[in-house]
Amino acid sequence: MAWYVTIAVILGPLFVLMGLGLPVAFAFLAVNLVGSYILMGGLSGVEQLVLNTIDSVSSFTLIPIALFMIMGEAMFRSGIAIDLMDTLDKWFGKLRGRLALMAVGGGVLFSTLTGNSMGSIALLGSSLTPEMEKRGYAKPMSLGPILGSSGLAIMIPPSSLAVVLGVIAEISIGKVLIGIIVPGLLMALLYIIYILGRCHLQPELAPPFDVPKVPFGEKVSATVINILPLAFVVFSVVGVIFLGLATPSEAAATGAFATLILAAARRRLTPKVFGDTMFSSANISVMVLLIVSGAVTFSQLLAFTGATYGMVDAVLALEISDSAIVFAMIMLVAFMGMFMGPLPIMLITLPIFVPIVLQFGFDPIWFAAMYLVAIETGATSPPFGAALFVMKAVAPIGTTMADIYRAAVPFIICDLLAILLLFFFPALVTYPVDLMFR
Amino acid sequence: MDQSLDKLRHIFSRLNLLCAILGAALLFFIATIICFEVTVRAFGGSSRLWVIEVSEYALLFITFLGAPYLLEKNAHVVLDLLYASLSRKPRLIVQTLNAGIGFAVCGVLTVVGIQVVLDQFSTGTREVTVMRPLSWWITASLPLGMGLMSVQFLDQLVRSFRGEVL
Amino acid sequence: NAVTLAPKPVYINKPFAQFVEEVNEKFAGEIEITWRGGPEVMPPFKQAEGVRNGAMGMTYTSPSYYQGLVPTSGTMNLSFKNYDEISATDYHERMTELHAEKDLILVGEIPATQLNFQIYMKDEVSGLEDLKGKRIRVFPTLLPLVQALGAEPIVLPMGEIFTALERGAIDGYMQGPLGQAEQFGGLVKTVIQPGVYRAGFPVLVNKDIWAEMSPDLQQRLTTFLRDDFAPRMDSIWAEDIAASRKAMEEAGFKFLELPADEAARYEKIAMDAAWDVTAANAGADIAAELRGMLDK
Ligand code: NA
Ligand code: NA
Repeated sequence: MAWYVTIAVILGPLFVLMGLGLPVAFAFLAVNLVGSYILMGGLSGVEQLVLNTIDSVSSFTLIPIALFMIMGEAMFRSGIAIDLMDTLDKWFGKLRGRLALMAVGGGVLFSTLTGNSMGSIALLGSSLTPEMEKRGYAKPMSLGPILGSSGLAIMIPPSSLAVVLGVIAEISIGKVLIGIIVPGLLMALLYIIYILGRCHLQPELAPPFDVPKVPFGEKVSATVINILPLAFVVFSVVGVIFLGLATPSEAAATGAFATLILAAARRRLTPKVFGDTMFSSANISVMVLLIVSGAVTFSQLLAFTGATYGMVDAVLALEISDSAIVFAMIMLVAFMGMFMGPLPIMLITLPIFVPIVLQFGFDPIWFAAMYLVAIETGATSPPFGAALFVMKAVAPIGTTMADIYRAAVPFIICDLLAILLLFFFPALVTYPVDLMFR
Repeated sequence: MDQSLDKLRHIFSRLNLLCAILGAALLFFIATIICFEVTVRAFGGSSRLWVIEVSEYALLFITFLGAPYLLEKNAHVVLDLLYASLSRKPRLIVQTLNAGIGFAVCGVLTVVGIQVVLDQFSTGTREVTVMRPLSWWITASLPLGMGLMSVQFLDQLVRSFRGEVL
Repeated sequence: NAVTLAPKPVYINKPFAQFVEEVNEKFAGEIEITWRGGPEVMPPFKQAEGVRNGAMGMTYTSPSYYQGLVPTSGTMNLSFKNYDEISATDYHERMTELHAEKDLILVGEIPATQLNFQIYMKDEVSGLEDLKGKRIRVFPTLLPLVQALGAEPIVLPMGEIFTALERGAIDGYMQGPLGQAEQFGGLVKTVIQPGVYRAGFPVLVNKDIWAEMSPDLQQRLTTFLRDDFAPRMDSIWAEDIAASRKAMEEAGFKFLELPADEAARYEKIAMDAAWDVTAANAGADIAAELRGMLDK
């Protein structure tokens, strides 16, 4: 079977099942079940599906998602997040879209601690969106910035995906980590321009806060009370990694604890708040993990059919210039992200792409940077980008999938723009690397 | 008939809730042990190798213990593009179909999951890790969760046949 | 259908790619191997189980990945002999029996004696004594050795080695000899020489598929792998290792050559520690029997 037929045959039922309202996780399970039965020798294929599913969930790389969920829920339920926004309102109340900008800022900040964008969404989504909504922010301005900026997690070191890329592609991890910083900041900049522009054109999306002239002293005291203690939380995540006290995954746990301690110190951690925090963060983790595991085993099935390899070969067989082929590779990666997880995509494409890029004589670090932006774009792309489902799990009740898709699209366009800029201006990547490694 | 069905529902509902609470407790447990590990290490203590591994297994149990409760509450992530706009009649049909598919999938995975557990039990397979636990302990989480979820889907099926829109 | 421990184009699969090609040509009409891919198709630690239950027909995997199923499988790493020397003993025959007990067919191994494990340290190290108390990232298989050296083994996901090393959460790690300069250039100061253990990658086949083959065909395939193909593969890595060493030296890695007696002590510690664990997991008798065949 041609690769596109295979993909259609496998993706078709997935579309239909999800479209009919079967929960996403079970739609994946159903397709995986039938697929492994047909492809991998009947019942033994299903036995293998059980083993693969177990393997995909019991993974240390997923632990930060659950732990950041605790952090986000604790911030929201103990009112720490609300205080933070109140204080920001006192300072920047007249600035339209200030909370959306804060989400981007938060994305940048938290990107310094995890290589997994889902952890970022978990944290920012659960702590910020309910309150943003209350303050009259429309969905594109509350969900979008979080979806967009969460992807910065893999663009700013430490980034476990960048390291995995270095390992699979056998290129310098250090250079990749330096090379992706400017692209990451470029993306953040594009998001900010978009937010400011859209708020200017459609002011109703992000209402300003009518500040009844707050005295300066009150602003300062609010900052001291509500924002400074957050430095403790930030330290417990970023600081411990920086000082070599914890690995990035472990830092999620210290962050969760620091948030609980902060809530307790402010006498907000009643037994009810604590119980609710743990119960709902466990619940959301369950939804997300079940989907992630379904998606991982789905990717394995796709890889087994050889369709993904066929897709890769088809792109390489295009009769276009070398640099156009490189661009097509990057676009293929973003496309695969619409229905596959980052890791399987990397395992399938990198060992094939990187030697070709080298053979063409291009800089592999430049390629790696665009590649990671593409991976990131794919993860937030409809219909099946995993980040979208995570957002759906943490978003306030009543948020539809269509809301999330609509919110994501402008940020995907920003990402594609970033890829184009990097493609035409490789110096954005290579200059900092040369500076550091001369 | 109705009464005993309600009673049964009540029992399973309690069971689901209990599992979900257990899952939440496990989540707090892993946050605690990882934090403890970091703290002890920061003060020059040695590393406890089992922490990472126990957390991984706990994650598995959190997932499969918590999933049945969420299914009961209809809280799993749904792609609601089309489904939400349906009127009563077609919605009932789709709902029945979904419950049927869910029941079949979870049912099969329960049975096959138990088979895998029994097989690993009889061959004495262990995980290739620091702690080397017997694999069947780990694998058992899946049929446990899937079993409870097939009961939930069965209940949805029953309700659908009775014309209840969920 | 076959699956491998690493994605298709990765260097470690080079000999397997050739194996697939040669088998498909030599046994045309009798055996056809379709290589589906690596960990993107089936998680590495579940591949042997996949062959056992029939979801996959064949795997080329790491012996340590399925020690949970066949407790003696890891012994394939525990030797300083080369392939021909091991092949002269009954080791492969004995291992075939031990695999059969768990319903797995061991066709043979594709050896890579030169791909041993080396200790890479962030700081300068002047001897084994300096490793005491250091945090070293390992695969679970290498854990007994690191413990026996008085260092502290740490188990981390691959993706975190770099950051952990950079920030000092770990002091070193153990890996094979290839690809290190590219990945960890600038972070590693010392590589301890010699490396320890050996690499050999078992080729496993599902027992039902095996049973469908005639005894004659089974014999011919086994003989082809064990007596023709494997000996040819054992020393193909020399060039790559030399190139990789050169790259590491250029990247500032210093090679610490242990003095002969210290090296001997190190090798003994490595073997004793690993065999003790094998004895505990698989039984003292079988461990002693296998060790008798593998020790120099
Ligand atoms: Na983005
Ligand atoms: Na990051």
